[in-house]
Amino acid sequence: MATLSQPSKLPGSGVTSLSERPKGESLWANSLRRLVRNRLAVIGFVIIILMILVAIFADQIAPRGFAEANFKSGDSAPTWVTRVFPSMIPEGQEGGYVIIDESYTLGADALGRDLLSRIIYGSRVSLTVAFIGPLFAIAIGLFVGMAAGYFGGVVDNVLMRAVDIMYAFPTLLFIILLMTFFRFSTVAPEPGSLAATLGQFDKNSGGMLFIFVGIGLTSWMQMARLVRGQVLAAREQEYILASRSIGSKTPRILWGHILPNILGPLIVAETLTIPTYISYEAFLSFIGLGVQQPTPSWGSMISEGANAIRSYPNQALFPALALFLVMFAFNFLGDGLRDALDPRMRGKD
Amino acid sequence: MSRNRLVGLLLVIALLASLSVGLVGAQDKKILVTGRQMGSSDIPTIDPAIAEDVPSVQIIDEIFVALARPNEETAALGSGMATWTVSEDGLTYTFDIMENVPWVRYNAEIDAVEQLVGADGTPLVVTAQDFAYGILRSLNPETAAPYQYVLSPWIVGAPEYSNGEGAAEDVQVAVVDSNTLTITTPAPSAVVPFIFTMWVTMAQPQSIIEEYAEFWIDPENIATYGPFALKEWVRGDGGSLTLIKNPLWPGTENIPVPALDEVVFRFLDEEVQLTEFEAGTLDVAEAPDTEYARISADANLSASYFTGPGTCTYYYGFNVEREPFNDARARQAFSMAIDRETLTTDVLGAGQIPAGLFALPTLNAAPTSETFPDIGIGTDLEGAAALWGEYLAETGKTAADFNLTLFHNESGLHATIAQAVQQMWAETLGVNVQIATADFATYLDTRGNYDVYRAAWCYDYPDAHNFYYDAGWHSDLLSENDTHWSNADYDALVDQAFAAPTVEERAALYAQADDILVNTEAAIAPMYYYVTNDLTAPYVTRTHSFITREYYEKWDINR
Repeated sequence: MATLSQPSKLPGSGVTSLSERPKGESLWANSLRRLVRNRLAVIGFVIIILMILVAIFADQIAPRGFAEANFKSGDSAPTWVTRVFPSMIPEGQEGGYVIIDESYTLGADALGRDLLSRIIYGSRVSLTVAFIGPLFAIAIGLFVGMAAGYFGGVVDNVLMRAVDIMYAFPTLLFIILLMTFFRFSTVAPEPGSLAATLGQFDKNSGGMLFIFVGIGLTSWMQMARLVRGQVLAAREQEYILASRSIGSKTPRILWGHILPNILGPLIVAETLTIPTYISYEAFLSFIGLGVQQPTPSWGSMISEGANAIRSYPNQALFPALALFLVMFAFNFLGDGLRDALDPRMRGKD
Repeated sequence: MSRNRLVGLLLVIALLASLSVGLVGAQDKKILVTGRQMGSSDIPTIDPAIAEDVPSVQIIDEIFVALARPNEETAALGSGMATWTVSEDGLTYTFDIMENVPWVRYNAEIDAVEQLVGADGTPLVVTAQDFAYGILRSLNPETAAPYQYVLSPWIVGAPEYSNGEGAAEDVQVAVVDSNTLTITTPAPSAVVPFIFTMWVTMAQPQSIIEEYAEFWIDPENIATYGPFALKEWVRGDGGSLTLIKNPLWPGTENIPVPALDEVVFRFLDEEVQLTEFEAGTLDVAEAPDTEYARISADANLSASYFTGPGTCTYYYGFNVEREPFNDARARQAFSMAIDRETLTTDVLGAGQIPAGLFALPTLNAAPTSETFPDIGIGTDLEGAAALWGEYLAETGKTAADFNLTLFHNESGLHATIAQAVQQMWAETLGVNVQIATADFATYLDTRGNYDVYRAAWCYDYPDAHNFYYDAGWHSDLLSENDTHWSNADYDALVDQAFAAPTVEERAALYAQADDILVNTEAAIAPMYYYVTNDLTAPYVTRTHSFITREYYEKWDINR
């Protein structure tokens, strides 16, 4: 891109002359440099990398299994937690009721399952959603948006009206409807049918499949609109005309010229949408439509913890803290990326 | 500007003044605010013919009164709106209904309860005709009352009428004179009077219902006659319903004129109730099981805490049409593998009682583990594993071959129990059960499609017949039975017990029936008996009911 913006400076034409171009900093290198200078974005990035590592190596890191219950230790907590939450009075003191068990780092839930282990395993659900959302958005939204924006006319009309119709549903309500529909069309299916296979797959994934489908089916629409708008603007640029005049075919123009030029805003938009996907999953699990027990999800842990929030605030607050951290990380990374990729910020620091 | 400010100041002063006047007024009145057994969403109805849930029946029982009424602290049968005599053959009941009980409605304009007058100007009172109309309306197929099937077997001609095959005239409910009603039942039984404690048999105001159709239960239309009248109904989640003392209620030994002026029922989650109770904005609240440890450790809360017998049995139903539960040994093994002691002490831990029989021990004619120690099912982990091993060996299957789903409606407590049982079954039987959930309405519609479902039966009237017959296990009610199980021996025992004359004979027969239901056939796995846990502010004098609904006319406030 940087090379294309300065063809007139190059005497003559031909590929050989390109190697003689003056050494400049590419847009991406420049953006990266600015991103690294943004402290909050770096913190966000580090948190995300750490979370990904935790999710991948959950089996090694977690002190216990996520479903490992010990009924006798239900609702127990270590001493430091009772100090942080003064309302949790340890057993033995006046008005005390919290069973002290130091072997649980953050405490145990009502069934005596380790909160820390469940939060660690719960990161798998949240982070998978964080990547499944953009994956669908790119897989569907990018194609729809580029086709609509570049070809215009009937194609544009048909695709964008479809997006409009899907958009007319409130997203969350739409996902809830989808989830309910999926779950109940696979209640008692004919053995061997598609519904049975999907239902089985969903059960084996702890209920995650339908969350992915639900979020995937709704995540691409915003992307499609954004891409279309960007393509509309980009296709009128001179470099596209130049490319077309030297005989480039449509795919080359789309992928080689337009896509690299509109990628920046798309990355920013998707990174900033990731917290929304994570919160959708947490919300669905909170209301009981998300992951199936005993698979832990931060949303379902918060929901379970909320049942006893007065007595054992740690059970709801620790998973909420984890959720907060990840949302925070993605938001700051997204903000950092926006600043870094903004061409108007180029050269300024 | 300054003038605006002056006006604003005056407004604030006026507001404060009116507030303080309101407060003074409120202090004069005895207003009790309760959240007990109201649930967190709007109550479905206050129509006696349509109600089927605990919150609705609670309100209905206070604004209408049935012919008979159980004592809330003993479950002993007493008179309600009537006293009665039984014919020698035990078939015909003659009810002598209280005279001059006025039909009333709260008038918001004069802020008082007033007697209604008929079209001809005569004051309206409750008559035998009103009761006959109420019973027939509850049976009318067009009313589509959910409790039709509970009421209809008890009155000659009623099953045919409610099926749409017979005529209303053939239902044996006869108005002898304005205060005498006779009802003929098909078979003599000690259970019959309990049926006339139910809301579906209450008097209903014919002219009002015909005038306003389904809107007759709105506060501005309704006509009631009980110790309280309906003052206000704020519908929707977070709403409330207010009852006001009916000064025209004559008052009887069983049902006195209320000491309270108003009772405000608020629709709140248990957690919220506890918070409001601690803040002093709720006089009576439910005590969430999850907070039990803190409540019992806290000096103030534990002084306000009350625990007593509950009204429901918690159980898991097995779908006997599906493998492996089409074999009684598998059902027994799964039932025995539930560690009820651990469940009630460690998982729930709010005083629940492990259940080895289906019927609640507090019911009239119910068998108990004390009187019949050899019946019922208990936790036996080795026995469960052995039975399950025997079943697997015989069918040539392994535990991993089964892909079972346990179904419950969404609620924190059910989810906790389901996960505990999931773990117990995995440990003892090596079976990994999936858990599925749904909202309450979907759950009720679809629970028969799953391998195992969670359920509870809460009684409608305090007799064991309600558990052994109406809960659906008798093959007459197979369509209501989501385990799809039926058994001829069980049916015969329940039928015999129904006709048996003494409580002891009935209990002995029910004991055998219960043993078939939970042990030899193990169609269901009873898990525990509910307890009633609540918190009451120290200035409230009250009775503690164990028959689902509270009788607030016996309560008082002494600040």
